Amino acid sequence: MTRTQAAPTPAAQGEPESLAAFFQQYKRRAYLFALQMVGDSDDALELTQEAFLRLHKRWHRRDPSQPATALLYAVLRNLAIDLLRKRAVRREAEAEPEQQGVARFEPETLAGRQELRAALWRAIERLPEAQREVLLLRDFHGLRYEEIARITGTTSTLVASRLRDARERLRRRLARYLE
Amino acid sequence: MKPDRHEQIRSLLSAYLDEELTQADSQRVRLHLEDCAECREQLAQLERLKQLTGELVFPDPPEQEWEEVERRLSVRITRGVGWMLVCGGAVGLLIYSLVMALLHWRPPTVREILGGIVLVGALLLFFSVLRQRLLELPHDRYRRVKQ
Ligand SMILES: [Zn+2]
Repeated sequence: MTRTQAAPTPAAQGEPESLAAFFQQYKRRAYLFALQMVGDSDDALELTQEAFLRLHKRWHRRDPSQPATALLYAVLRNLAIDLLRKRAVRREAEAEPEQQGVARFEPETLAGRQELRAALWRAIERLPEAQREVLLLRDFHGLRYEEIARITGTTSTLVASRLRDARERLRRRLARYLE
Repeated sequence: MKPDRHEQIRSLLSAYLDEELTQADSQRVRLHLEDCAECREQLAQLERLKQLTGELVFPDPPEQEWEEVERRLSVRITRGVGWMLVCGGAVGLLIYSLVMALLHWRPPTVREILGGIVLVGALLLFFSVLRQRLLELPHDRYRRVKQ
């Protein structure tokens, strides 16, 4: 049901050859993805730094037919999931109550004060992790199903169904704003 | 419109919106939408959500934070290369000296003995730093994590 598409080559995507230039071009996108995943700006910066360090180690061995951004997102995602797991373990050990969502800042400051945007971000935060990452990679970062599937280690079909479920949840939760 | 067909189309709307459907499915959705105001409305809502998600605004870190990240990155990258050179060179030199000593045994000169001491010392330092780094790794990860 989903269309398979040839992955765009890095050259076609205009990705720079050197890691330094790549860092300048993509550091902000990397940071935002980390922030959306872990919800804390210090942690997000730390993850971004660690991700580029890991990228540096593989930069010259990376698959040239794949965009480096896919590698960047995949590395960031693994680091973020690692951190979220550790937080969950620590919360359990310290018997802290599970907090809703991941963000530690007020959604209002995050989303620019508009009620709908704040409500939208709150709803996105509460999505199951697997749905949240797919939604953000598609609608905020603009990746194609095929790329998202590679980054999250699934299939395009599964990406499509997670995305459909995520959007359906958001639509139901935000129904009063959307009508 | 039969309800099952209606539901089938709804399940395709999300991928339709992303232009990720096959041509045949896409055509099927388009035809259905022409006749079905309900599904058109649902598609419009999904479209709105998608657009809003793309327009969410997140706080950027201040510029000096980026400079700090760049500084730390370059320090760690340079240090990595430095340690690799020191370690590789020292191990190579040690092996070479041992092989030469075994092949042509003669009493070592004072210079060779001193050189050997420095070399072994450098390797010891390297492994102790490495051990410490490995032990510190878990703490390092939480260094900036708020409790
Ligand atoms: Zn319909």
